[in-house]
Amino acid sequence: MVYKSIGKNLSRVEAISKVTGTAKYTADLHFPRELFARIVRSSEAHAIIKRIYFDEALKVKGVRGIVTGENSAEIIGVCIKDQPPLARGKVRFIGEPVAAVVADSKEAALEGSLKVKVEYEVLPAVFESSEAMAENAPLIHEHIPAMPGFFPKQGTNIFQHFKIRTGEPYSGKFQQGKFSASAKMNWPHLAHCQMEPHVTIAKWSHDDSIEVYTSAQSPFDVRHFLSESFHLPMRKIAVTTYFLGGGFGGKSDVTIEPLTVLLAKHFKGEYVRIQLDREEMFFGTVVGRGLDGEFTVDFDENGMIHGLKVTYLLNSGGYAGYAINIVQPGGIVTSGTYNIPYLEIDAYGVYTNKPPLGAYRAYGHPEAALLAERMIELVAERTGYTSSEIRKFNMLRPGNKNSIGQTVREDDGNIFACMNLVEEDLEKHKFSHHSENAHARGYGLANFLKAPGMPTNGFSTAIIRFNEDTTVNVMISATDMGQGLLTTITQIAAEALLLPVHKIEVTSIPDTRYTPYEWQTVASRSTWMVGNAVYKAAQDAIQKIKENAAIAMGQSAHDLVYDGKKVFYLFDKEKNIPIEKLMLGYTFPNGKTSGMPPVGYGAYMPEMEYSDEKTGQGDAASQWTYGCQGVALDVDLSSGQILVRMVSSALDIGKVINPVMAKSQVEGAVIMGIGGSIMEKIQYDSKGKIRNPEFTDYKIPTPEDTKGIEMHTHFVETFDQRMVYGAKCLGEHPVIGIAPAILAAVKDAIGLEFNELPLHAEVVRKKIQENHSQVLSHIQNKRAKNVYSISLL
Amino acid sequence: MFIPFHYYDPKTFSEFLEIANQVQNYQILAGGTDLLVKMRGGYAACQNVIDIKKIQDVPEFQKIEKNQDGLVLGSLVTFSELLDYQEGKPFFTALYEASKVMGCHEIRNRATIGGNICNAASGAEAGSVFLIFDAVVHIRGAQGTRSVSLEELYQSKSKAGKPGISLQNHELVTHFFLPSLPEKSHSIYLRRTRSAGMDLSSLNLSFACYQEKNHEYKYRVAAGAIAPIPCRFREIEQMLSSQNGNHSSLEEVQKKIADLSQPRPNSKRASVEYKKDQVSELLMQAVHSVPFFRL
Repeated sequence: MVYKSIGKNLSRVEAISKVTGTAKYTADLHFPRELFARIVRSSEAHAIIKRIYFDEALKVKGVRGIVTGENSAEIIGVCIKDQPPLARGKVRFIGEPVAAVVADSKEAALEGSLKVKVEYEVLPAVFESSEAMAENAPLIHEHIPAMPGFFPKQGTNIFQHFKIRTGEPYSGKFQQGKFSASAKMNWPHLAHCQMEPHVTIAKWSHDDSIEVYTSAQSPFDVRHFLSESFHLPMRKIAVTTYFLGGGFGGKSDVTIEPLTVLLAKHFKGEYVRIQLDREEMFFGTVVGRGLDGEFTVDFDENGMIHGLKVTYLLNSGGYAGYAINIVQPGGIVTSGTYNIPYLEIDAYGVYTNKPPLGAYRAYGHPEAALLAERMIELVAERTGYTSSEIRKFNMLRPGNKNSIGQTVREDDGNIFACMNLVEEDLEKHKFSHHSENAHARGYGLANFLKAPGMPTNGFSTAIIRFNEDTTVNVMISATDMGQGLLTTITQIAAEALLLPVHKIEVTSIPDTRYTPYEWQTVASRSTWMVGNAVYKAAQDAIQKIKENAAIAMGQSAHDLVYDGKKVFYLFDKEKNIPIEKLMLGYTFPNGKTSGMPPVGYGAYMPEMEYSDEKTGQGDAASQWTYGCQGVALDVDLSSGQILVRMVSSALDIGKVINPVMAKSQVEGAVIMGIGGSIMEKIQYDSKGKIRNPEFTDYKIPTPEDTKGIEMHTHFVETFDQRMVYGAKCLGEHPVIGIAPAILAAVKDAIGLEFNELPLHAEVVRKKIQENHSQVLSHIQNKRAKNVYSISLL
Repeated sequence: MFIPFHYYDPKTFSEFLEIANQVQNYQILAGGTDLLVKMRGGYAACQNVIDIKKIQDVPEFQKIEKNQDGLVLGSLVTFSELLDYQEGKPFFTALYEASKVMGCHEIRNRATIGGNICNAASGAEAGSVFLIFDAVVHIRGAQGTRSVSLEELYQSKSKAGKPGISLQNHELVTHFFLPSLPEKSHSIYLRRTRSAGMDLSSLNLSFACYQEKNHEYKYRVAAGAIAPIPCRFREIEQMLSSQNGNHSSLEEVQKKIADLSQPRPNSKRASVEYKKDQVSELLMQAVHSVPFFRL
C-alpha cells in the first residue's frame, strides 16, 4: 500500500510553538485573584493524627484558611477507593497531605504552612513488601475497599492477588524434572522525573459547577473521579489540559486534582492553585517500580522449559488507588515471550508505609521481564546451550497459547526477526570494538512483550470537523506529553481524509466540555486506538461530504467517490464537484441550500474481557508488541562502574507512522532504561523518609552519560490487523528490555549475577572484590576461548 | 521552597562590618550556588543574607595573577574566570582539572573559589586541590588582615564544634595564595561520581609529585569526601617519598590511605566501604599517572 502521509517524517506539528516558548502549559495560566495552596505533609510514616494546631498559621498575613481531612468526606482511588485527599485520622506515608494552607500569595501560604504543627501518635510501620505480608504485620488499612474484578485479602496488607494457573506440571509435579533453578530479583522505587512538575488550578462556582485546569494525561478520567468523589454531575465539570512536560504515567489517573478541588470547594468562586515543588514530585505524587520477585523454573536437558512458578510483589506504599492495576499486567508477562506449558504465577499488590506507587512507563512489564529473562539465562547456564538458543527453543510462536490463554497470532509480531537484528548488531560490535585496559566487556540481550493495560470499556473517540475552507479540525482528548501524538494523529487524519497534512489541525487543548471522550492517554495505546477512532471519524465525515454531493449531483451517495479535492461520479469522472462547495451543505445556483456542514464521529474499543479469578485466563490483553534489546557494555573493574557502549533495539511496531519520531521515542526510552538500571534509586531512611528528593542525589542520565553510547534502532513492520494502517503500540516498550539486557551483559563480562537493581558502581565493585578470583578466571577463560577482545590489568 | 529572608548588599568593607555587627547571624552570599540550594531545601535557616559581591574597596576579591612565586586568586573569582586564565595552567594542572569538572557551565559562571572553600563541603573541588598546593588564606576583619594556611583553617573548629572553616568577628576571606611547585612537577585531580555529567564528587583525590634538587621525589596527597573536611595525607606522602620512585609495592600505601580515611557513614553518594576502597584506587591511578615513572 502506498501512503501519502503516514510513514513520513513529518516534523512535530507543535515544534514552532515549543521552541519559541509560546506553547501553553498549565503553569502558564494565571487567573484574577488566584489563591495559592501549600500542603502540610506528614512527617511520620504510620501514625494517628492526634491534633493539628493551626492558630499561629491563621495569624499570618494573607492566609485565608486552612483545610484538614476532618473537613471532608471525599475519598479517591481508581479501582480501590482508599485515599482521602487530606489524611483523615491516620497517616500512611511520609509526605502524605495532612492539611493545606490557602493564602493570597505563595509566600503567605508557605509561611503559614511552616506554622502548622501536627501531633501524632506513632504506629509501627513497615517498609518492605515481605514484611508487610508477614503475619502480625501492622495493618495499614483496616478495610480494603476494592472494586469488583479485584481480589484483596481483607485483614492483611494484600490489596490485590492476581493468579495464573494453566497447564499441567511436567511429570505430574512441579520441580520433579531433572533440572530446576530459582532466583530472586529486587527493583527499588524510582521517580518519574518529568520536567514539568504537577500543577492544578480549580474553581468551584456558586452554581456548583467546577473548572479544573491540570497537568494530567487524562482529562476524562480526572472528570470521572471528581464526579464520583464530589457527587457532581459530569456536565458540571470542566477539565482542561494543556501541553504536558512529560508524563511517563505519573500524570495518569488523578493525582493532586481532588485536593485542589476540595480546597476550591471551601473557597467558592475563587481560583485555587497547587503547584508542586521538585521535591514534592518525589513524595507528593506517585513513585514507580518497587518489585520483589522470585521464581523457580522447571526444564529439561534439552533446554525446554516445562514450568514456571513466580511470586511477584509490588511494594505499593500507603495507598493503592493506582497500583492495583499494575499487579495484573506485570503478572501476565512474567513468563516473557516464551511458551511455558505450566504456569503458577502469584502477583501481589502490597501496602507498605512508603509513598504510593503509580503507573510508570511500561506498567509492570520491565519488572516482569527482569524475571523472565533471568530465567532464560539460568536455563542456558545449566544446560550448556547459549541463551540465544534457549530463547529460540522456547519462543512463543503463532498458534501457541500465551500465559492468559490467548492464541498467539501472526500479527502479534515477529520476535524472531527482532532478535536476529539485535544479535547481528551485537556480533558486529564484538568484532569491531575493543575494550580498554581494566575493563571487562560483556554482551547481553533481552526479549519482551507488552499489551496495554486498560479496562474493557476504555474507549477512544474522535470528532472530525470540516471547515468552510476545507481545512479540518480533529478533536480528540488524548494529550501530547512530548510523545508526539499530535503529529502522528495529524498524519493518520491526513491519510484517512486524503488531504495534505497542512490542512489538518489536531486539538492540543482537550476540554471535557467540548472534545470527545477518551479514557486515558496511557498504555502506549493512542496511535493505535485514537488512530482507529480518527479513521472512523474521517470515514463518517467523508460520508457527510458525499451526501452533500449527492444532493448537488442528483446521484446516490453510494455511487460517489471522494478524493480529497472533489467528489466524482464513480462511472463518469467528468461529473464532479470540488469539496469546497460542499462545506456548508450544498447551495444551488438559486440560493437554496441542502445537506449540512460535514462532521464525523468515530469510536474504537477492541473486544476484551475480565480475567478469570482462579486461573487468570481470558482476553484481558487486546494488542501485543514484541521486541528485543541488546547491550554492549564495559565493567570498569577498578571502580565497578558500568559503561554502556552500544544499545540495539528492534521492535515489531507494525506500520511505522513517523520513523524519526519512533526512533527518538526508542532512544529516549533506552536512556530512561539505563537510568533505572544503573543510576536511579529512591533512597529511604530508616523511618521511611525519602533522602534524595532532588536531582543532587537522585541521578538520572545526562547528555554526558549518553553521548558515548552507540544506538541502533530497528523496526520490524508486521501489519497489525487491529489497526487500520497496521500500527502497534510503542511509547513505553523500549524501556523494558534494558535492565535484563544489562544484567545479562554484566554476567557475560564478569561472570557475576546480581539480584538487585540499580547496579551502582559500588554494588558491582563490592561483588567483584568478594569474588575476585572467580571474576579473574571468568575473564581469563573468555580470553582463552578468544571469545572477543578482553584486556585486564 | 524559600523561607523569607533579609538581603543586604554592602558597597564597602566598613559597610559590611556595620551590617554584620548589626544582624550578628547571617550567611555570606558570594556566588550563591551552594547557599541558594541549601536555602531552597530549607537546610540553612538564614534570616539574613549578606551579598559581598558589591563591595568595591577590596580589590583582592577579584584578583587573579600568576607571578614568580605562585598564583594569587581572589575569593570572588569564579571558576569560569579561573579556567579562562590560562597562565596558571602549566603550574597548577590539578586545580584546572578540578575546576573544569566543578558543577556545569552555568554553575561555574557564578560559583566563586572563595565560596567553594568557605562552604567547606568535604567533597568541594577546590578543597583537596588547594591542600596539595599549600594554599594560604588571606583574611580581613575589623582588626586588619591576617593569613593562615588552609590546612590549619580547615582543622579549626567552627562554633558548632564541627570541623570546617571558622572565621572570627565578621572576617572575610579576601584571597588565596598558592605557591608554585618546583619546575618539572606533576599534579592531577581524580574523582568518582555517579554521573558523567554534573555531579558532586563521591570522593576525590588531588596528587602532586616533583623532584627536589637532590633528586629526591616529593609527594603531596589530599582527598575530599573521605572525612568531614578535605584532608592532606602527610603520612602517605612520606611513605611514597621513602620508596623514592620505586613503586613496585604500592599495596601498603594503598592500605594505609584507606585506613586513614574516615568517611562519615550514611552518605547518600557512597558507602564508607566504597570510599575507603576507591581512595586507594585513585591513589594508585595518580601514582601511575606520573610521567617520569613511565620513562
